[in-house]
Amino acid sequence: MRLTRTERMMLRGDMGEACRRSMELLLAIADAYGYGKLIKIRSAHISGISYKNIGDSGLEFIRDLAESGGFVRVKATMNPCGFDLDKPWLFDVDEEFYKKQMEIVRLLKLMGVEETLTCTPYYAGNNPREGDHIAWAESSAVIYSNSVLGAYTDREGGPSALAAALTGRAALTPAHTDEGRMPEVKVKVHYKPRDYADWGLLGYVVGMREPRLIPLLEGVKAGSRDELKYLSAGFGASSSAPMFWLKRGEGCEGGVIEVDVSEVKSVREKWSLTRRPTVVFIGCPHCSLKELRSIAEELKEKKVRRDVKLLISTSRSVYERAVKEGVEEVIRRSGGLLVKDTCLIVSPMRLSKSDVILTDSAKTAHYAQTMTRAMIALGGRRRCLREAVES
Amino acid sequence: MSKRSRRVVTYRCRGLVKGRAMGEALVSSRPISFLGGVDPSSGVIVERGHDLEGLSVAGKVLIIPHGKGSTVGSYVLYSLAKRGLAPSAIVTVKVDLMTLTGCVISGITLLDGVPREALADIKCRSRVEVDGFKGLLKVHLG
Repeated sequence: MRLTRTERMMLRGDMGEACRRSMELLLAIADAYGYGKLIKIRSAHISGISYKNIGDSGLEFIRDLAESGGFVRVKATMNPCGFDLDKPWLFDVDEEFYKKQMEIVRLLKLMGVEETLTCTPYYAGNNPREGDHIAWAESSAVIYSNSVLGAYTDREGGPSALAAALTGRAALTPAHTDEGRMPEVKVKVHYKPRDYADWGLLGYVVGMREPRLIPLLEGVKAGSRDELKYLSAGFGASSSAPMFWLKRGEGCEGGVIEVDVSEVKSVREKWSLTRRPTVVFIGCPHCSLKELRSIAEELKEKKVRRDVKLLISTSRSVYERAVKEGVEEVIRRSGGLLVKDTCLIVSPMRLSKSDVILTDSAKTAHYAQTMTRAMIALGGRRRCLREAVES
Repeated sequence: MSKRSRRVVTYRCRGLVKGRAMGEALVSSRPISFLGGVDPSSGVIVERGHDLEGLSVAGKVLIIPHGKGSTVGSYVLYSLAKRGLAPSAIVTVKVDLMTLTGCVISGITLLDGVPREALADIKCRSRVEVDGFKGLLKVHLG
């Protein structure tokens, strides 16, 4: 294996035990899946933050790394945790959960990871440039940074992204090379997404059709950044590929498949709304400021129904700006809950069989159907807000 | 692929995490999810309907097609290892990121590349040796 002098020192333990263990993990991944080499990265984004997901085992691992002197060598950010750190009571958090979640966040901060607590680090100062090599976990952010921002990252897991942060390296795998990122299947899309829910659904359907291949999407107009964010999240929920292509001069050598309205419709029907929602969830991935402005516009002078919980999630960096602009106040006055640091899926919020969740995110719908017993419905943003307020 | 001597069958695999181990084989042709599928406090497989349900992985050589599920499963292996309840080695047909990560951070010897047919041929409880340096799996017959 070809290692630089610094990398050899890291592997020997000259830079501390946490760094040595991280190096060991990256080299094993490089051996198994890559070209037996590491690559320097500019940033890391770490998933597996919520105590609900990683439990005592994950906490134990993070504690051991922190106690053996781990410290980040590049910019590193955190995915969402189990609750809004300023409003834990909204999420059915008990004392044990609260303490352990705070401990996870504290240990990661101790190692120099920024307390961003968002799945949209690109709205929170971790903004890769075209051509940057990075090591990100969180599928929606991986797909977005590869496909929209033009950065290079594989789909890291929580532990490997943390190891990458502590060493400033990632395993050199196909996703980090131009050859490994060539489109493998052309997808002719005969469907025009009209709102965020449609964009997420389109990504989800494309990923379902060929879940291992990198697709080149044809017939999709370049959407706004927010629209592409939803496309990325939906795609990441059903595909294991690291990215999609929207435009590529050389075309694609693989086969051709077609996706039309009927396929999108059949998924949508599975998630149709048949009863009044008890929870309306918006913000997967976390809302941008632009989205919050338009939500506030819709909610102005309206009242959220008393039998509905309207939950809108965003990152703390966007939340602060929303407070300054008065957007947060409009949402609060309507009775909507604007929260940060978390989301429906990673929070321990109790959802029973009698709950009906209405969301405009295909990703949330996908995970909620396996992680809760509630009924799941997907609707456009307008529909979501209309169902949440008094008529 | 396999070399038959009198009472030992040897499979040539790829050593992914170095080390040597010996123990009883725990074999399944179905993948295992460690997150939710194995109890981290006891090492017992709890996935409903799995053919190994109710058996403990502790000290065994686990021979499976691959792991499945979230990379969080790696942490479960780590927890098991700290309590002395981890498998002594894992042998897979094709390794996945979760199992690889879990074995590296927990120091569990890991091989991949065992032929799929071997999953049917190797009997549960047979005595096996794993050499992660040379990438060898030896199964003692009878």
